[in-house]
Amino acid sequence: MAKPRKPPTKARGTARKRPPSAAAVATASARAEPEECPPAPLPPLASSKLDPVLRLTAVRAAREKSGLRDVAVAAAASGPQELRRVTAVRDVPLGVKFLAASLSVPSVRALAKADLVQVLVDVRDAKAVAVQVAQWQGETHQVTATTLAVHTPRARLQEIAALEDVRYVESSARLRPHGDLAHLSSRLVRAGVRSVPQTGRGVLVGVIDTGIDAAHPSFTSGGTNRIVRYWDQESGVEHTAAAIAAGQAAASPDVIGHGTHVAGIAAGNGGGSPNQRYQGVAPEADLAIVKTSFMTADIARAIRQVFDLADQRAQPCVVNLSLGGHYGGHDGTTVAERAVDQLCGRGRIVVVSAGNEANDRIHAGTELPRGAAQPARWVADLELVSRAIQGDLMGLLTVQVWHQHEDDLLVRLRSPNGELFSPPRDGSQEFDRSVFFVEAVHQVAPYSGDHSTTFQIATVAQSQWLRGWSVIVEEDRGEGRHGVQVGAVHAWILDREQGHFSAGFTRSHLIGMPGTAYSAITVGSYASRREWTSRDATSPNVVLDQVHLEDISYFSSPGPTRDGDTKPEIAAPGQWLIAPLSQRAEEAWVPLWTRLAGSEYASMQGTSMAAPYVTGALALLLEKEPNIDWAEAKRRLIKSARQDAFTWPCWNSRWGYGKIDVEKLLRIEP
Amino acid sequence: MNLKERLIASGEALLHRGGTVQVLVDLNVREPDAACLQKLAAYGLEVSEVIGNKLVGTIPGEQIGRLERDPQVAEVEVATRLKPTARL
Repeated sequence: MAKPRKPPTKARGTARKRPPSAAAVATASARAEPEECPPAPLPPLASSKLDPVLRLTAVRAAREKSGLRDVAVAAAASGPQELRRVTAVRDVPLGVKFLAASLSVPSVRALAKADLVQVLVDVRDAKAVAVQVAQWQGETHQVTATTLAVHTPRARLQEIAALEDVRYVESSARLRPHGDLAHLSSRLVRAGVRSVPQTGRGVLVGVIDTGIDAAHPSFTSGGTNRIVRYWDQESGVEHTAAAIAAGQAAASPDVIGHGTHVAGIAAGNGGGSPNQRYQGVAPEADLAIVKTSFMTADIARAIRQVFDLADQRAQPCVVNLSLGGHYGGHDGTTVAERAVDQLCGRGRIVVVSAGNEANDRIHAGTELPRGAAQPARWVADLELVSRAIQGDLMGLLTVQVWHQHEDDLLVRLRSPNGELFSPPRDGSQEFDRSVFFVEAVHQVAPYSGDHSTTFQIATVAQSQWLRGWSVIVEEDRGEGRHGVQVGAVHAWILDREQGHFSAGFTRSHLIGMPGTAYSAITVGSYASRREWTSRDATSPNVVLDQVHLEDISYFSSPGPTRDGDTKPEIAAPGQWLIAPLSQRAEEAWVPLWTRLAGSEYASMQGTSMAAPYVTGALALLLEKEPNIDWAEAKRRLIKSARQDAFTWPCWNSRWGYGKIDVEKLLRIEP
Repeated sequence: MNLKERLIASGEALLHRGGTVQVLVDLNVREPDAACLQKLAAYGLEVSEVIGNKLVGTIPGEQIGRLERDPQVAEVEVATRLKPTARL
């Protein structure tokens, strides 16, 4: 299916808003003319360098000079609702409607009526413009070398725009809260206001991640910190609400910044952002945070601890896991995943990110033919990446091959020099050579009965030993063997940093564990933002041309699971979400260009960001129906999922059942 | 240091060669009672959490085989390290 694509725009750091043509402005102004007014020639606009809202106010100023009435602007003075109504009738440009919807009532009034208006001016020569504005009794403050904040009489707007050194004039207005792009896409916000009454109040949101910056204003409401418990699995310290209030959580900093961002998407209240613009989905939920070691055993413990806390507090609870790995059968049968199943229940939900490996060639698979004349055979070539381990460069890769218990197959590893290695049944073996070392393990998974063969390869960092490895799977038709009965074979490289398949790879079955857990709600990512202003002075205007808004993120891991479960279930905004930045986050993890100018917020991407979006939405659902169980919550998510030109009308391996629609999720009944 | 030694030193080796490892244990019993836990503790298993018929804990690596052979134990899974799923 052909997907609509945005044409490429300018490179990062060079973007500028493109003003509409003078002809378009003139047409729009003419359309704004109320029908009952006699046609009157408008004073020509000095230029098209004014943003749409300023254009209206400049027109009004010009009309006042000439004594003409302007219905549209008079309505704007009464508030954005009226402006929207009038502009709909008058067919004023979409840009004006959009801006009007995003501005607060006082801002619209101020822009329409105030004698002095505040604007941001993009200039070539700041000094020359400042001198001229001063002559017109205006005030200027230099923001950057090419940006001036200007207080100017409204009547002078067109003259400022006409200055040769001025490139563009933009209204500086107070924005409405809840205006983030992801919320528009998910239908959480419509026309600048939340579309649902729920805020997550009374619900416990658990975030098991890299920790949290507990002092970030986004997690405080009315002077009270909403983090009710903070466990640090690394130090073993448990911070109570009182300890967090006393600032003791600073001893468990989030130096990676991931957990703080994730928690903010789910339940931040936007504190510290302009007008709480970067509010999370459930801004009044309570938070239970675990700074985890990321070991599966610790994660299972953490979920239990959070749900136990929810029991004590008699709260419904949803836990977010923005993490994953590829060790295991990818069928939800690891002990860790079955522990997740056991913990989920009424008012107890777990949400997991799908993973980011769609393009990483870490899965290979085939369907071996049954009953062929010759024994079936399949080869997947792989290549290691050289990396520093214990201070020296070497190749180190683990590949795990799975096939079903009905099949009798021989699974072997072939080295670049043609040697073949295989482990004994239900056993392990080492193969030590001077230039490489191989460990091989065969296991029958106790729960499913399926077979796994795992090879770990360590090589010297020379290209002839990093390349030329193959996994070879052959049908075993020996005595007492059944050969191929089902034929499904899957192989995973455990980490994309270790290497990739150079042949035989597929773009499926890439959902990580525990995202393959049966009861987990597994979330893919789509793009909702590609621009922001960063605090990187060398390139403040970040514009990512390769991001296709509303389309699936290039990295979002596709399903299904090895046993055919339709995961992911849903896709949510995850490609560039703005959320709280941990004060202690290191630049290696949160680079300068992703940190927003003027606030402690950052832009991040990944299914890690999509999962907490759904977690927040489920917190809203749990506020409405505290006893809903995970299966019904999943059914409602699926039923309410939104399909559009980017998604598919049915389940799809990348989108799941479609895009999250928060408004519909909260509206549909059992 | 040869490749095998470097692999072991890195802590990323597939096979466990001593040291304590984190495990998840699936039991054949519905819920472990005190006697069951006591018997498993004899293998060096230190249980930190009980989730229904599953245990989370640590055990000396060389004892995993013995634990797996206990009739009360359905499966022993050595914990693996997961990663955050943000994409830089």
